[in-house]
Amino acid sequence: MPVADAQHVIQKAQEGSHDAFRILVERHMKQAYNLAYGFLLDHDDAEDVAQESFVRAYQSLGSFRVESEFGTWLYRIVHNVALNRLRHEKTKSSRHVSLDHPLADSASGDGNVAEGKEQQMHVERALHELPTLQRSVVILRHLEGLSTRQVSQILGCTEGTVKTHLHRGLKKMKKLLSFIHKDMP
Amino acid sequence: MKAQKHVRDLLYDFHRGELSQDDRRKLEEHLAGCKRCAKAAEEIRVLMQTVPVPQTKPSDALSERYWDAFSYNVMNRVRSEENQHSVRKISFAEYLRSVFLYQRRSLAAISVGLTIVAVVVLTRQFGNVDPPGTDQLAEQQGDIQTPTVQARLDQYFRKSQILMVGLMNMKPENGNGVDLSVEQAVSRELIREARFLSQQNIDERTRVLIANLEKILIELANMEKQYDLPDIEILRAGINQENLLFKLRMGEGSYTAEPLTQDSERNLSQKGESL
Repeated sequence: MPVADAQHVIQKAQEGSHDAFRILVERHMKQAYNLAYGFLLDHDDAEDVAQESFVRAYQSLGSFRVESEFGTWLYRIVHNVALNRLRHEKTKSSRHVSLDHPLADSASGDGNVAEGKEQQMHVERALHELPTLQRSVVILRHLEGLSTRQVSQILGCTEGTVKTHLHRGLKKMKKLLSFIHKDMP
Repeated sequence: MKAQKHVRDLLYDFHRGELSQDDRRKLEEHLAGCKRCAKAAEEIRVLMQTVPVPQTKPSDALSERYWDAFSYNVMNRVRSEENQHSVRKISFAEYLRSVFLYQRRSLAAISVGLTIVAVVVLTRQFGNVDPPGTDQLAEQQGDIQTPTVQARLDQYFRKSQILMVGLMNMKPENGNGVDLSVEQAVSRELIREARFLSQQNIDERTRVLIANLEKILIELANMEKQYDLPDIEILRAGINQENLLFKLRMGEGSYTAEPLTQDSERNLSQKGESL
């Protein structure tokens, strides 16, 4: 969507147009869901957080400045809502499986699990061993591919801080995932 | 010794292919002549390889139908937040649409189930008519106020039931859509009746059922004259979602039956017989 069109749609949404807001929802819903999923690792939670984020965005549209990037602003809301959800719902066992037992809940004995899928599972677990800020940076910058500038705006820190935490986060993940690579020929 | 900071800051972007062509060329030239920075670049490359970027996103696993329903659900939540205490026609229409889109049930299975319900309802309707005057006699013998409300409730539910069954069994004629003018007239009549009944002293369960029926009736009454299959399907999905036919069937025995007399009912009954 060209910038002028995007700004026009946002302005319409700010004036209360539901049709305009729906365009914004349709444009950003997949990435909002992916972001939420990255933090929550659960479809239902991710869906609910993504939807709630849009509702909050709609309610706060008046405070959004049109010259800013709507996506970045929305992802900041998604990030905050997802972290709040994590703080309040720490009951999902998948988020706390220790890497000491990497196959603990992966249908032990089932040799048909695709290697790529299994590796992805390990990455997700390692990710959730990281401190919150490092995890946020790795998800937003590395896995979702947002720019360093966008991530700094979402997290409210400098670009330098983003780069530092990205490096530290990836190093820690490498260490956590080292058991996989030991098994490799 | 560490790599130069201004170079180190570019290494991640470099490996992601996000540098401009000019910056990339300059960095490659630098790495070719600087062992420290080349070592740091290699370290970053290994780190990125260790934590691979997934080839697919979680959203890729979800169908387009899911995403259609997602946006509808968001808009419904937005509207619901905007006005929690009023029933808004468009909001409910979108709710129905999302239900229909999200819950992809087998129409064949639904049709079989509803045909059975229709047969049972129509059998009762035409096979068990009370003698005329029964209700008038009951009114004379007992309290005047309560039987009148009950009779109207009973009639309201029976009319609604016939209307819903008719909708569920309706088919487009030669692909030209269907004529809903009779159903719309009846639905308007029933909406008026529902508003009267909801002001009476009735139990909560009945009040909820009336409210659920009213949503469908409002939707039907406001439907524009383009009665193609998707529009009907939205109504059907709403009826199905709320289990209205089942609830009507369950509530049927709670009230005294009253013969149907109005013209609109006759029209509906004739339609029901022809199905």
